[in-house]
Amino acid sequence: MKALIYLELSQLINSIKNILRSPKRLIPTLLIVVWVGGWFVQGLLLLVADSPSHQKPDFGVLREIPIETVEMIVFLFLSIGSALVVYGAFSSSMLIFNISHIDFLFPTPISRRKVLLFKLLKDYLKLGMWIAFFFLFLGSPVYSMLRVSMLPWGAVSIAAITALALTVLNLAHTINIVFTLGYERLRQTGILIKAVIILVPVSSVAYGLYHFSRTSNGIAGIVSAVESPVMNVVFAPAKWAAGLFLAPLTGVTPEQWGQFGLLWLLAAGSFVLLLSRNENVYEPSLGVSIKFAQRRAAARSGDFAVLRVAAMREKGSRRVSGLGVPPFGRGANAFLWKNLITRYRLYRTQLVLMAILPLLVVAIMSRFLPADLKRGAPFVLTYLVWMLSLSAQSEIRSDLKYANTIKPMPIKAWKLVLAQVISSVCYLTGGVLLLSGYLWLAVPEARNETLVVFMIIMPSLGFANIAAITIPSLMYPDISDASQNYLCSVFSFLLTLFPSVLTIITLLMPKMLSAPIYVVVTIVCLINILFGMAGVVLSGELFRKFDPTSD
Amino acid sequence: MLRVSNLVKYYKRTLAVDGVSFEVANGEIVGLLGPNGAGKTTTLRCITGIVQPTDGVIEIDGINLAEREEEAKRRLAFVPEVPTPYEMLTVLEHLRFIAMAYQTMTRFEERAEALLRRFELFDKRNDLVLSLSKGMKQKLAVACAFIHEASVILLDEPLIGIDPKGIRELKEMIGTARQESKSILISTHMLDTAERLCDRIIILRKGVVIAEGSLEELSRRAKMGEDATLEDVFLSLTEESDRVEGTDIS
Ligand SMILES: Nc1ncnc2c1ncn2[C@@H]1O[C@H](COP(=O)(O)OP(=O)(O)OP(=O)(O)O)[C@@H](O)[C@H]1O
Ligand SMILES: [Mg+2]
Repeated sequence: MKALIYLELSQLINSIKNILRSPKRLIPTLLIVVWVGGWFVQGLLLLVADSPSHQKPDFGVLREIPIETVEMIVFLFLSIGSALVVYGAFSSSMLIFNISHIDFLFPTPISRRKVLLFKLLKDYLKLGMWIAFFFLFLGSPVYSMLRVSMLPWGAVSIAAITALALTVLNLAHTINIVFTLGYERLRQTGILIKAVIILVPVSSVAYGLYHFSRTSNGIAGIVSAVESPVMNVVFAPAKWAAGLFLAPLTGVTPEQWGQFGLLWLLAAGSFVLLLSRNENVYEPSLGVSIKFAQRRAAARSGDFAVLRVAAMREKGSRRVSGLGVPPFGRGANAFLWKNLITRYRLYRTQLVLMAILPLLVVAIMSRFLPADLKRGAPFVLTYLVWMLSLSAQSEIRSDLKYANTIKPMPIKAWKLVLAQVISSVCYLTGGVLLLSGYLWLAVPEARNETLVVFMIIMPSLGFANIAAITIPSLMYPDISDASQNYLCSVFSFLLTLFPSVLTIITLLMPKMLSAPIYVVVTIVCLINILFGMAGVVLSGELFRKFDPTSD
Repeated sequence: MLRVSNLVKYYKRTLAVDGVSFEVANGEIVGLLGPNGAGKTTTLRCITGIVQPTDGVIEIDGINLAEREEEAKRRLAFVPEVPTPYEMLTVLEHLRFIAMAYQTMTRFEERAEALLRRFELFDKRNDLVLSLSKGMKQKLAVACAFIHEASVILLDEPLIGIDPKGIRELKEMIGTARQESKSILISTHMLDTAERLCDRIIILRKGVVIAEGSLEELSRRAKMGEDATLEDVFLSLTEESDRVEGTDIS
């Protein structure tokens, strides 16, 4: 145990020192601390200085909401949450020890139980603090509006919710350990328990429907579903916790004190149950920890491609099926091909969504929007292109980590950049043109000259935009640095302003002057392409000088 | 002394180790070879108690790992494959934590200094592990394994990423450990090193021991001459068992 405490304390102290030492880490940390701290102090002030002398607006209407309804909603949340956590425990591992623990702590003679105990205490302490924090953070303004003091019953609420959370987590951990390790042996039991967890909501929904059919009152149906006997029995602890959650409003009855005691008894009992298990708790965290660490590292570096790849790996997609772009090209063309297929593989689901979502949007638009807005669709589309290009920036920057592989290739830098840009433009253009096409087909009011002009300009607009944002992406490549992110966004914003405004002006053109529109459109497309090429050449130059090792 | 009998390990439904038995006597260095995915790491993880064997018995100095786990583990040292030491500890703190975990704090400073100097980490002793290079982390992992007095030493690909001087130091330390009659089990892909360092070789393939013995014995099994290298023997034996499996299927 001494070694474990030493380990935790040293790491904590070193992390703090590490933050204090570098301004790059210190400033964002301070900002977050100040912000959160401000909220917290404000919450505490609201909690303490609850004198009516303050000129506070009266939110008495909130009191009109019947307390039973609130309690029911809280109960619903707590029970669904509990069910989800327990259900999830069957499939994915929950005890996540980090890789360093696997490599260096697990082989030591420190007993597994001590390691588990220490880990759980640490996790639960954090959990309790989060619950308390959120309660104060969100609760204190609400209670202050209601002019109800959160003291002293707020503490009971926090304790009750914590006890419920601990019980659920202990159970989930136990299930997780038992079922990850006794996989084959206990499969049937697992299926049975899962079935019960599913059956409870199903049966209560059926119960609600039955009520609804009798009374044809929707609300009453929902209420009776939530209040159905099965729910009340299976999720009794959630029910108690929901009641106690509102203690500052209702006070605590003797019966509720009993429930409070029971909740903590359950938490303690399930904790003992968990610690009494003899299975090797190290094993479930083996695969997960590595996955988890990769993902955290990826999230930290803002590398979304890695996150997606990890998600794909989890789903077990080893081979890629479906449509693929046939290989083509040499040199930079091959690079373009590679980009097209990797994007397709990574974002396949998103691509499908991209094809379906616009349909929905268009359907909704054609129903509910005024005709003027429908006619103005191309302007909205220009804005959409602008936003999408700006959001493509993070992807370009995260692709830069492959610079190590790409730079040594015997291909001119600007060609590489061009290939990269074109692959993004292909997807952007494809998506937006698809949307425009839907509009054309489904919304008669949008079927006008402006839309045609937009659709012709669109590819060159996308090219100009994406090429433009590549420049700041290369100038400020470090995704983990807040100031670089900021500068990068500002520059991208400014640079993409030009082609977007130009497009808007062109779209307004037919109304303003009677120049032959095709001339104007050709000129605008040319300007966009020139603008984009300038961006590509400049980016190529930047990329040539880009040093992939210094992130 | 390390004895593994009939070790079986399933990860969910993947069979990683399928009835492996072997022994490493005191003062013996045994090399664990095999193609990628053969089950070397899994075998070592079972011996260190990181994963639960599905079946089989593991004994360390005659102590059954399943029955008296802590006692057995106290006699073990383990260098993991591609180690990830605690980033937020300094090098010295890391060693101290390991020493505390094994409860061998006597003359710690002295021993730590000797080890760190040996691996040229002494100048870095107060740096965070975060700032170490890959090879330095590997060296630190080796130092952690040697900071306590183990009687069985397990090394999973210990030579990857270490510079020539570090490799020589490690080999020397392994040699010394043999003289102190410890049992050493090394998993490696570096066949020439294994050939020179190990007294005996175990070749795993798909979780099964396909050959075991000294280099001469193995070359005899592979029906090769005396001057055959371990590489020849290894490739011949693994291919042979591939062929055998091929005929099984058809
Ligand atoms: N955590 C895990 N979960 C599921 N399967 C695993 C896990 N770890 C290893 N395996 C599987 O077990 C088998 C043996 O893997 P192991 O890591 O022991 O091989 P290895 O001999 O060490 O290979 P290498 O030479 O590549 O290090 C492989 O098929 C691998 O896919
Ligand atoms: Mg391995």
